[in-house]
Amino acid sequence: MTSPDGAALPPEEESTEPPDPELMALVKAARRGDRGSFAALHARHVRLVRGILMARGGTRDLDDRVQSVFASALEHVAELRDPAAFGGWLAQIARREATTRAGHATEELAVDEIAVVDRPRAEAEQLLARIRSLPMAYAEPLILRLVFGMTGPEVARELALSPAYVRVNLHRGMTKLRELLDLDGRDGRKGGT
Amino acid sequence: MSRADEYLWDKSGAPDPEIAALERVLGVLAEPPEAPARAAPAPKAEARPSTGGRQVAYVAVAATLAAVLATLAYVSRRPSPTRAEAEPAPLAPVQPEPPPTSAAGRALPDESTGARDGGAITRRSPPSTPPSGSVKDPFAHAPPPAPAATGAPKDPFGRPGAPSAAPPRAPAKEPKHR
Repeated sequence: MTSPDGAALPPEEESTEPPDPELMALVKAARRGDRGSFAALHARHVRLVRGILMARGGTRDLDDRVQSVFASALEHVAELRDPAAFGGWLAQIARREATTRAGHATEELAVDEIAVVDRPRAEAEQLLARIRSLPMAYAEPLILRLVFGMTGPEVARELALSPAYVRVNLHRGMTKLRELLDLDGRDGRKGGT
Repeated sequence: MSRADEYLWDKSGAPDPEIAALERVLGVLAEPPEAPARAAPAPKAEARPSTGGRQVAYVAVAATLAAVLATLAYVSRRPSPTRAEAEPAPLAPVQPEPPPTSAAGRALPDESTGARDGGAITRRSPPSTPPSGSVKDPFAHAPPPAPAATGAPKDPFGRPGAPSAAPPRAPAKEPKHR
């Protein structure tokens, strides 16, 4: 397996983490129809779903998309065979949702429109746009780490990925982002002079 | 592994200033701009109204039914207005008349009767003056108080000097002079 820029990557699906017994219990109860357990799963994974959807579709209608992902998960959780794979399964639902929405996506809110309303948010949206321009294998862990504050081990555990894979992508993504921002800075200085 | 790498991976060690600045800027996107994140989809079983909500619904239905029944009862008891009542005819001009009083000053029942002739209320004309020689009681035309009244008129009010309401004595037999 190679990274988006051609470098070798550690194997993606080799999580060395033992299954979380609490997660297993929650998923098993949710499969039996326990709504409280599903609510607990929602609380545990909502950052993950938001991060994946944000990486692929930006912030527009984010709440609606998150709601749609969890509604779909609630509908199909009884069909999930391996409780330990809940995070990866949920992430796949979110990626499918993002792809479906991208097919008939409305135009993105322009950053200039946001700036009129909320300057810090406009600055964040600009930075997010730079991260989203990276390959998705870098953008997803970067957004989960920088926007939602998840650590690398948390990302690896919730996505059922190997920590080595996540770690490499996180650092390579950060390197790429620095290059982009340096480039932006130089362009900004050139433009300003 | 550099300090920045460690901080990026698991936030251990001293924060890298550049990464910390990115976290600060991007952190505003973690929360929705206007409303807090919605909760998990509400289960369908919980969508049923609670017991309190059901009681309120019952009270509302009962109140509506009571209102409908009261309206129906009012409409059914109310006499249907005739055309004449719907368009009231002007009353015939009547001179104000003091209520008749007895000799003792008590008010007597009004004899006037409102006749509904085509909606116009007429007042019976006062009785004509009784012929001289008869009892000059202005209330002689009052309705008889007892059905067995025969002979001399009785005063239903037991006025002094007036014939009492007691059964009249049989008239004394006059000796036949013939």
